[in-house]
Amino acid sequence: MQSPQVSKIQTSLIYILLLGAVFGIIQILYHGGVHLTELTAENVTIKELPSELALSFFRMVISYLASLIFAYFFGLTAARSKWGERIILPMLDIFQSMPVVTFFPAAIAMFIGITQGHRLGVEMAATFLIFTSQAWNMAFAVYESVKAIPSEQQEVIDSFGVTGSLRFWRLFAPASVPRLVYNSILSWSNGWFFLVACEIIAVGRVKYQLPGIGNFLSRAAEQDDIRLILWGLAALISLVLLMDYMIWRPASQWALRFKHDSNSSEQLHENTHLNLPIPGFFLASITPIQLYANKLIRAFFSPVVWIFEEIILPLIWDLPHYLWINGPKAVTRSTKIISYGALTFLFVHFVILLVQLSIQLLTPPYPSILKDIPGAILVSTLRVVIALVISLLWIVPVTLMVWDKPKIRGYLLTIAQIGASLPATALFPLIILIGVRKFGGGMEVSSIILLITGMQWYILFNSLGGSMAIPADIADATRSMGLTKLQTWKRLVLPASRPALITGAITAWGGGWNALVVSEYINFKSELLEVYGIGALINNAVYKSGDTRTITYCIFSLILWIVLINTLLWKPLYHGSLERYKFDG
Amino acid sequence: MSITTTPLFEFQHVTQRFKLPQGDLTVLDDVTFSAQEGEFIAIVGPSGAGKSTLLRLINGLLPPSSGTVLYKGKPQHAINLETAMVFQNFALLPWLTVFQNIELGLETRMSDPNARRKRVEYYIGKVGLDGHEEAYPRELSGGMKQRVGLARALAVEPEVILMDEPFSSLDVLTSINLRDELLDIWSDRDNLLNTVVMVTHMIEEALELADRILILSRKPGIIAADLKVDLPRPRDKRDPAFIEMVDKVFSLIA
Ligand SMILES: Nc1ncnc2c1ncn2[C@@H]1O[C@H](COP(=O)(O)OP(=O)(O)OP(=O)(O)O)[C@@H](O)[C@H]1O
Ligand SMILES: [Mg+2]
Repeated sequence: MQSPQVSKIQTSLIYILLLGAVFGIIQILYHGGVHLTELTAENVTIKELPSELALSFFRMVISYLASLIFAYFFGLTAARSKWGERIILPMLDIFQSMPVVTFFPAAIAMFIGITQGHRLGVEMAATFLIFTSQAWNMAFAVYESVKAIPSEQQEVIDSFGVTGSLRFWRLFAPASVPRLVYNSILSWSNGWFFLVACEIIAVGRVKYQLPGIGNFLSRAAEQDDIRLILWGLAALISLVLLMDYMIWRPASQWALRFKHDSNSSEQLHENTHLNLPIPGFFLASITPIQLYANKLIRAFFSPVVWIFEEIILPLIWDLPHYLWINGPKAVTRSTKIISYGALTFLFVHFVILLVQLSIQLLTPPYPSILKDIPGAILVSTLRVVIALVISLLWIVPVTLMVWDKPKIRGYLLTIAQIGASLPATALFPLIILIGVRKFGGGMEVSSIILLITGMQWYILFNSLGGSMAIPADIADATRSMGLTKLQTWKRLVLPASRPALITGAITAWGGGWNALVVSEYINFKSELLEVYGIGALINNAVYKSGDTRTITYCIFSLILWIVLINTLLWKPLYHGSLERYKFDG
Repeated sequence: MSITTTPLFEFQHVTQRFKLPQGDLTVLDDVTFSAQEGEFIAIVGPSGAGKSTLLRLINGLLPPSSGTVLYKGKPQHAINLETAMVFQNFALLPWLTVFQNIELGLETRMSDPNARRKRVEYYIGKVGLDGHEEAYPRELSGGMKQRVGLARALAVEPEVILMDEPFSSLDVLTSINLRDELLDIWSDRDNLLNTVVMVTHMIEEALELADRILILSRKPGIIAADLKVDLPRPRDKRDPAFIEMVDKVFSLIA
């Protein structure tokens, strides 16, 4: 992963391009000036499409890089220190269950407030919001892969005395690559999905809109221009396909090298080079175009790698190491005092803030909304459950049909990637116009359909991935014994996909709440369509009143509920199934 | 056994190729041979020569790229349920117990659960796994898993058993016991199982059990030699004729 072999000319070309891009972006930012206010009635046209797509893409790249750094920093710390684990994991869990809109106040306070509504601040806020839909699951990927490193490998590295950042490059980086690549694909899809929510930041009467594909789609929807929506979606899908072809497929292929494979000569059987849950129906043949793209990307990443190696890695790596992992004897007295002092200061500050907030929240008069919350959560939960069940009802049979057909499975995964990337909010007008208005069903049905569009792909991704991981020799053994199709499904495919199905259901459950918030409350042709539920409550609080206390109550109860269900229901189910249904017997 | 009967199974100009990213790999190249009922055939050859592939072709897991595999004179197009396979890597289902793993192949063949239970228990005893019926594969040692794989194939009482290095992870004593057990089942003409095809890396094991040895070569993947083993049974490894035979096979492989 170090020193990509790219010629000097190419490298300089890339730097020039990059500098040009940065220059251009600064130009745009300043040209945009400070005239950001309320929603402008100005119409979008097809001409804006390329530049808006490019802007969104740029935000996604920045946010992805930030997520990568975040993922390694927190993932590694959590995996390597007991305390880190105790604090970071629940934190990630909570963040993961927070719908994007609930980060609005934070985004506004952190970025827009400080820059006084300057374009740059709004840009940063939007990028931060995209980050909130990408970062957490990547951090989990790093954490879980580092945790899963077999102790023998750790011991080998230890026994050769490999320490410091070399240890990172030889052990942790390679170990985390396969999962990270896979989760990056999910993160990108996620980022696209929530783009609409991220590019239109609104709290109460304050509203900031940034040019971008998300904004384009929602404006096109407001203009009730189906053709424009379709153009926007087509452009988005093309970009998703292009990225799939140029980046994710080669990356997935490359990631295979880092998988610890088990022993057998059987490993080569037809579907085993598709072992990773990744789209890869033509993984085996990397074309020259892909190779070239790969070179360019690596050249682009080489400065990033440098920054990472020289600045961030020492921070991630050595700082916690000196502070607490290695124990007090490794540090000088003064650094210890300074660092512990700083930590204590931060902690005290945090506690004071927390106490202030609680007092503020607990003093009467309580907003009348309080008594609505439990009922709303219940209704919303019902919706999420229905969407989950419907998704499972079509995905499980499909998985059973295609588990031994790598080609079809590859196509399905690409479709899932596209489906997962389409912003639900952009689909709303289509679904409402075509589905609901034509065939009836009302807002209740359409909100569940919208929810499904946000949830099903996670399950499909995982379920196909799980069925793909069935070792070829075990599949052969069941065939050799002459099991019927039904028996093979019951004895082999269903149990084998079980952990992945549960993972998919958990992820969909998390993502579902996020999608719920956007699907219970829809602005359609300046008409407000909403159904009773916690998502609508939150949206009302955020977009209409902007009342911090109401927002806090809603979000707080929602998070509590999600985390409760996670710990009481999903986690035991997941761990139970992992233990029993994993291959390595 | 007369030579004029139709062979039990037969390879006619069988070629097996695999498509790999770096081009086609020809593993078996125009292989022709036949096997009579009642034979005990050992297949030896270097790693990657195509021994497991050959077994898969007999079993019907793999359709040949070209050529025909005949069983009792009929070309084969699907899994041959008269044959049962013992897999090199055991291939047990991790979520089923030892008992359930062995029972799996019987579910389609025997509808009476009591008869099935008896059959499974009988073979669990044969391979010496009594008391482990309810264990899961991950709780077993490599050798024990191998025995589950063996019992699973024996339990369906096939006409031909195809074994891919079936004794490789066993300790010396267990493997001696199981070899004897296998020879008993094979030579007992009352049961259906009269023909064995076994892949092995150990020349001595091949000579101790088989009455015919096929030596596969790599690149080209052909049968380099087809030897009859006429040594009297039970065989003695210290017998000069045995040692001579070992040397002969060795020189053919090397
Ligand atoms: N399904 C497959 N796809 C691609 N290549 C395969 C496949 N099955 C086998 N091969 C290749 O065919 C060759 C022969 O494989 P095979 O498993 O038959 O060898 P073997 O003689 O059993 O070796 P060993 O003694 O190591 O078990 C190997 O190079 C293997 O990589
Ligand atoms: Mg083999």
